[in-house]
Amino acid sequence: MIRELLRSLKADARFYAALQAPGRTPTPLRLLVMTVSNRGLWFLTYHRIAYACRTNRQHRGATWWLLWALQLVGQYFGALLCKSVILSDCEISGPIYLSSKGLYMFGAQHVGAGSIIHHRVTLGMAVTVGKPERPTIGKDVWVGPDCVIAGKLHIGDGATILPGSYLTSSVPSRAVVKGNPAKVLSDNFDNRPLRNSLNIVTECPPPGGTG
Amino acid sequence: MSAFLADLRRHLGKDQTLTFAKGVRILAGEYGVQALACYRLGRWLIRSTHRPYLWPLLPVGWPLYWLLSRYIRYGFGISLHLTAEIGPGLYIGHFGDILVTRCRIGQNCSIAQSTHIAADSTGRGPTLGDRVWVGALAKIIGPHRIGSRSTISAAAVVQRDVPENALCMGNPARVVLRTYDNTEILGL
Repeated sequence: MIRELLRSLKADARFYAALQAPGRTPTPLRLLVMTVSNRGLWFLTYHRIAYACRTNRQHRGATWWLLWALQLVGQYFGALLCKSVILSDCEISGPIYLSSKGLYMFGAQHVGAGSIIHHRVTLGMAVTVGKPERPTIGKDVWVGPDCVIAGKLHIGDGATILPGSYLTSSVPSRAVVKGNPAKVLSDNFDNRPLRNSLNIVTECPPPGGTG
Repeated sequence: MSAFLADLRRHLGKDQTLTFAKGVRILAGEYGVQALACYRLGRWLIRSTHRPYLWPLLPVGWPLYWLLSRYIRYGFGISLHLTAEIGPGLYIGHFGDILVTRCRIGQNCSIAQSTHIAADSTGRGPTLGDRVWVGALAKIIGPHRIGSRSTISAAAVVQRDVPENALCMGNPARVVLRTYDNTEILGL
């Protein structure tokens, strides 16, 4: 259990390092600095621990209880420092990038590897009464800031969700969607350059006039 | 105090009676309830300036309110300013980047994460009726009137008045349905 957990944490840190300094092999010191300096990675680390606890519930040893206590602390500090919550049964199948600004409300069922998700994104349940309906997100998806993705929908591999979108229906693979409510702009778009350059969004000026 | 009990009942869920243990559990577990407790304390302190027998409490109460509000604001990003008039029974869905200033909110409303209900540059804020459901990332900024029992969808940016019982969504928000029943999503 702990070996798998450490492997996934190392993969996360490698992924972050590759995004922030492309083309360089990260030193162990660089990986450590990356882990300490990025709040999105703290939050992801907390979720990895909570998910490991959840999947290994049947054999509870001393390690399990230690990890459980860690995830309890992490839940509070995830709320306090990253202002985010995540359901502990959300399955993240590989390294993903969460930006450092936080404000995630993560209720997704499944998030694929290699996705990039920016701040203030809500992946939520639909506002219906009864059984919860949760979104699933494919591999290599780029989700811009201020997006709301709610309900039982699937985002295909390699899709691009532009900032400020409100999604209520599924998105095919390699599509670009935009708008509130969202519309498909393009059917076939390669978002690899977008995923490889993080600074496109973070260097935008902040929106004004919202008090 | 009765307004805060109504808030607690809204967070409790349907068909459940409020007991002391449940109240403490909700207060410890939900950051929105902590923010509401802090807000109700501040409003009570404002009202108690008209009651001279409560003046000995004020030198303790205001620093306590200041500490609590800073903790809630910078810790969890919920700022319910005392300039807002919030009716009893507000439900705060999640936390993070919630801003409620200079507005009037009726009874039994619901707000969610990253909603801004605030005044524009003229200093006049919106007025929300009773039983209004406001979704995540919704922005209601400026002197608009939201009618009772209406529903503001997630990520809507309201720029004009909304009639009663309406469902409005989009950016800029427009009324999609004139008759929409939101008692189920309010959880009432």
